[in-house]
Amino acid sequence: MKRALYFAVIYLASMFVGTVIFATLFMFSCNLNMFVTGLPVSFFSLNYFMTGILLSVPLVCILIQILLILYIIRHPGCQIISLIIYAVFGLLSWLVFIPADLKLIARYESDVVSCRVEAASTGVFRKEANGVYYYTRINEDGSADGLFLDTTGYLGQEGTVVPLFDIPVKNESAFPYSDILIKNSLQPPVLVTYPLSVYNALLTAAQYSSSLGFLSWLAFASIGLALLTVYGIQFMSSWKLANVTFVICFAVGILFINYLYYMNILPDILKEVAERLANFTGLKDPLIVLINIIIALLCVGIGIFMGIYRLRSGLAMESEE
Amino acid sequence: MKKTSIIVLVYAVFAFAICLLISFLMKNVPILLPGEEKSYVICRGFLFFCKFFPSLVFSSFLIGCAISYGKDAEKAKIKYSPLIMAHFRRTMIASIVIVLVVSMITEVFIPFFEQRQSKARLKPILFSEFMTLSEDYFAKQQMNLAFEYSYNALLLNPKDQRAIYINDHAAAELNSLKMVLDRPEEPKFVFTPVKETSGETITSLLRKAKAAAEKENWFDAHYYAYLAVQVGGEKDINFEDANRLASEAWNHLFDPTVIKETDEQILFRKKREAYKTLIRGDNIEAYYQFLEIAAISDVAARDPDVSKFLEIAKDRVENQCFFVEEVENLRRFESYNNVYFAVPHDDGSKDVVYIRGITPVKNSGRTIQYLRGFTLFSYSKEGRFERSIFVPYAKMLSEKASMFDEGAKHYFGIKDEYKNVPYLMLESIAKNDRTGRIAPVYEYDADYVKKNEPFLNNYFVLGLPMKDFNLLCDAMAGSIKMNLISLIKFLPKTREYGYSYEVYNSDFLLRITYPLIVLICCIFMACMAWNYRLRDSQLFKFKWIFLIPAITIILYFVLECGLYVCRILNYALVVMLGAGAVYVSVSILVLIFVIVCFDFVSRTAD
Repeated sequence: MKRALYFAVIYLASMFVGTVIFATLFMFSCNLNMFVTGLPVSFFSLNYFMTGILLSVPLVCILIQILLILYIIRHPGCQIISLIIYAVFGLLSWLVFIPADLKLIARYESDVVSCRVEAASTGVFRKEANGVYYYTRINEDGSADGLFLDTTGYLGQEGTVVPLFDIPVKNESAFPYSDILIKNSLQPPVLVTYPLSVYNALLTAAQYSSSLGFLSWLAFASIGLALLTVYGIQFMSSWKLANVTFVICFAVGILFINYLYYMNILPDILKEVAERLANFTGLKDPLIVLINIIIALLCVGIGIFMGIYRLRSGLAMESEE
Repeated sequence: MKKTSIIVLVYAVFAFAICLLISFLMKNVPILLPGEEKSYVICRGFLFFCKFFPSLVFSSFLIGCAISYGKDAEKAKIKYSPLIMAHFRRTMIASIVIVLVVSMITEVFIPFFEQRQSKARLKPILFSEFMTLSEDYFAKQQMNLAFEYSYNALLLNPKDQRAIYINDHAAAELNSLKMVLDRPEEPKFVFTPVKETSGETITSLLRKAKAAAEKENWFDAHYYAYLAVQVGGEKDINFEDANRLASEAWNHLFDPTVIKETDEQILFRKKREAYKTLIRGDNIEAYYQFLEIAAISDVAARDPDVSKFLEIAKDRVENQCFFVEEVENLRRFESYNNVYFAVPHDDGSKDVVYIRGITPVKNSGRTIQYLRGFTLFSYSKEGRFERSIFVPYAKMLSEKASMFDEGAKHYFGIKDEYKNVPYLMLESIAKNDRTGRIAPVYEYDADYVKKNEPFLNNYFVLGLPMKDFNLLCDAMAGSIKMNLISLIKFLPKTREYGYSYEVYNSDFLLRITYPLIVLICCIFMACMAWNYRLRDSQLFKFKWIFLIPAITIILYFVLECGLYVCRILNYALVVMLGAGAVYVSVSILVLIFVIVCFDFVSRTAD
């Protein structure tokens, strides 16, 4: 009982801390998108923070689920209680927290304002693809005086220095940031943007499914089932570190398979199967439900089989000692 | 730790081989000059390895520790047990070594290989630009330029047949025709001899003048008397004497009856004319005139007056401009390209400077910098255009700020605290051809000229200390790649010179805290290794080796995301706290480090 309570506290505390961390990061990055070097900016805004909380709840739920498995691998005692608590919180996440959060996102979505401003500051060199801009004066109507240093042509035969008079200030090249300097310095590597785009795609799919009704949501939530059953993978190897690696790889794999499905990046044959299954059952996304159930059964199978095997070999070792 | 070190080393070597192999198997090599592919591919392999290095080391360190911690782990029954403390000591030493190696790789090796790669990528572009220019000039029969560009092209790619053809033909034609450079012309200037009178007084100069007058050497007599007049003031007791002797010598020089030997009449007349030009202050014209006299005959060349005044004229010329020949073939030695900065003045006005390329040349212990494509735009306090100066090449010297008088200091914005300032000669002339002058091009705003006297001199002084100029050249590498010490010096001046303080400071924060982040990661890996260690009785299975690459990939991803989060937090700190951000950031990381260390030493076997 003590362990169950401890688990619940850990789960809720991590949920709270994780959400706050992600929401803060979201708020900071939105404000950075609006930041123009040399101009004042505030890094705190309640609107972005709340949006950040809403957007990060599903991510935090998934991460905590995986972290809980890693915790159980580290502290393997009381497997049954651990499993029960894990399952309870997993179901709570996928049937209560995430759907409720998606509804809130849908309700406040229109309030999410664009994170970008059309402005520039004077006295700073801004390096763009073909040259450098330097504004000396910005008028109230947004037009500016300054210089453009054309840096194309290494020998400087082609490039010239062009004085600018009353030209409109544009910062499209800085998109999604407001200042090209911030973009050049802060543009995230692909390794950061790609997982974010995967998450974004899954979140959009989740929102869509949730808007279609409970059954449709359950179809999407099959990903949650597959992720929950990753629990079984922790018995794969006799070395804890290997199990940790397997759990992470499996979870990432499940998310990625679902992403491929929802982005329709599938071989033609699977697309055809998906269509036929949908026509046959009259349900939404039956293929991914099937795939997720197969993965879940596989994980459960591995869990039961390897769990018993590990238990036996553990007992055998103990009796030897 | 021995076992862990072996695992880390073996894995690093193995990963390095894999990185090289991947680089060799990858097909997308950019366009390179012939023969450079292999070194480019090796360089790319090195870079792959360097980029993955932290995660490679962390993963093998994790595995190594997890294996070695398994032994006798049961002895750690309480917190801070001797076993854990011993592990901690060894782990800390290993971590510090890892930090040193990782920091060295990020600060030294990655910039080095990236620079090599970008140079290799640039070479074909440079080569094709040189070739296009040489082809152009070759077609236009401007053989001197065709020769220059084809020569530069050949330095990059010595085996190119077309370049060899143009170079040979242009050289042959140049030899036969002795063609000269075709360049635009002329400015006006006044020059006061300062150097020639240094160490001299009016009395010493007058003594020299009198001695020359006694020997009837009227050139020297006038020259020294004239210098004496320049040096002395009207109140000087010898001033009158010097003035009188100067005019007496001048009369002798320009009195036709004084000429005794009619054979030397022409030579004397020419010498006289040239000398007159020199005294008038037109040193460049005087230089060419004496040069022409020396070319008439051997007798003329050996004439002591000619050689002496040619030397004096040349010295004076070198003080006010430079020879076009000095900048030939300089481009390939350029150390910096596309250097730009703003120089603010006390009245709120600004000079915006852009230099296409800088070539430093050491000359008798002094560094001279040749600036290619020097452009300066001046803006008023309100940001309105006032004037611009452009010159294809300028010669820059570091001059003592004290050398300038108050007027010049005020005009150029030289502050008293500056030690040395960049002094720019804007005009260049050809050594043997008076038509080969390149002068600065000035453009003025009409309103500005109405209110101010336009500046049309052939020199300019940048209103910033020389050390800041050098710092700005270093800053062109960018906040990530520039030398860390230069970055620290440059930080407080970023806004002043037109750079983003936030960008430079947050990158500085990341670079300065990176070793600490790596150290925290190492100790954290050790914690993980303890948590998921191999059991005492367990043997390491061969198949587990294949886990290492998977862990490397996971850690690479986690590390990249973590560093990106650090960047965002750094920005927030810099924008909110400014210069104090570094203290807050380091304090937070030190706190995390202490927590992680305590977490490790309080591990038990349970």
